[in-house]
Amino acid sequence: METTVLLFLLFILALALFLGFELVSTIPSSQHLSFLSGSIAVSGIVVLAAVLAAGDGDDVASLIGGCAAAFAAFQAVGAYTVNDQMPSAPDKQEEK
Amino acid sequence: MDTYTLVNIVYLLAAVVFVLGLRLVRHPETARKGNQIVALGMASAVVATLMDTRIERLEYILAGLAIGGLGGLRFARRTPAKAHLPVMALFNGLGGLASWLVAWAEFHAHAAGQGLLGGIALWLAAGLGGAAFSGSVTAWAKLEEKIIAARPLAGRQYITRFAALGVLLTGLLFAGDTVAPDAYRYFALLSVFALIVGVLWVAPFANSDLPTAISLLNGCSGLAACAAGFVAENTLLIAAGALVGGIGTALAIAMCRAKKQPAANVLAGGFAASIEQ
Repeated sequence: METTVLLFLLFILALALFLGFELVSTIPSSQHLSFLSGSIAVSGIVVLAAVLAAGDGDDVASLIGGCAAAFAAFQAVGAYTVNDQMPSAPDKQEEK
Repeated sequence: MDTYTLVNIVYLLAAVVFVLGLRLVRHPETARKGNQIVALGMASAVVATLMDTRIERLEYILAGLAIGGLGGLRFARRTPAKAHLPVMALFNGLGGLASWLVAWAEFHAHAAGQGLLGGIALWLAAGLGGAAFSGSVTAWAKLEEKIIAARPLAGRQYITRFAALGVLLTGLLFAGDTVAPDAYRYFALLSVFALIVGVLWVAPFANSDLPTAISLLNGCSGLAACAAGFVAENTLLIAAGALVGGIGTALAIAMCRAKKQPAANVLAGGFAASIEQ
């Protein structure tokens, strides 16, 4: 990877990191768990890496990548579904 | 317009959608809508990625996505509301596992030509992913009461610190030369150390503090995905991974503040002798 591209990507990394921090600073504590669930769903983005790995020409890498894709898809679909099943109105102190 | 441009335009829109959706998740009335918007962004990104010209075969991709997706859907539908938190922890762990597997696959297929930076990216994806996996599974097991809390071993914090040092050193040895014959051994070693760190870091947390631990683990899995993004040279992975990394860390600190606990003490977890509150 050439230096200019690397620096650019690091730039994006830094901004995204700070954006994450800033987003959280505006959340009331009653919404912490709900936001955590949302964030765990977003970390399913790793499925993109798994797709690229599973599409590789190398047989072993492709197989491992396929497994990664399965786990990542399980996470992404599962997390979004569970989040969707959460009641939209806040339950009173019902978070255990 | 060539596919590369199109894919990256979709990635840009997806990143914007993620942030807009997450902003909605902050409030109870709009949370569900926010999650749906984020899901839409993620789905579009997956479809766009399938158009990446580096992909040489589709069978494993489609099989993996189908099996995993359907499994996740069924599993989620059958999850009762009170198991929400442990199940979320489990999901986070699987994401970490996926990052580790991707690092392994990429290392296996493309060990040559990684250079030091590629090696570092692989190391971080594997190390952070592995620790996030084992830590999350431990958190899940504690919440679902599948592990009985044994008496803490005296001096276990030294084992945790030693394992972390192990990840660091073997990782550096690995990243320094990814084509050396020893590289595979270093990769295996750093993975094992990472798994140990994950378990031991989470182990001393009280169940009521596990959301904080899970949040930091989420940050780990996000950063692991970000590192995988550097390996795959995928902008969205880097951006979204870093976003989750920042959110996870910030949220963990925020949870400590909300409970009036000193963040540094709580977040030290298994690295410290005991968690003072």
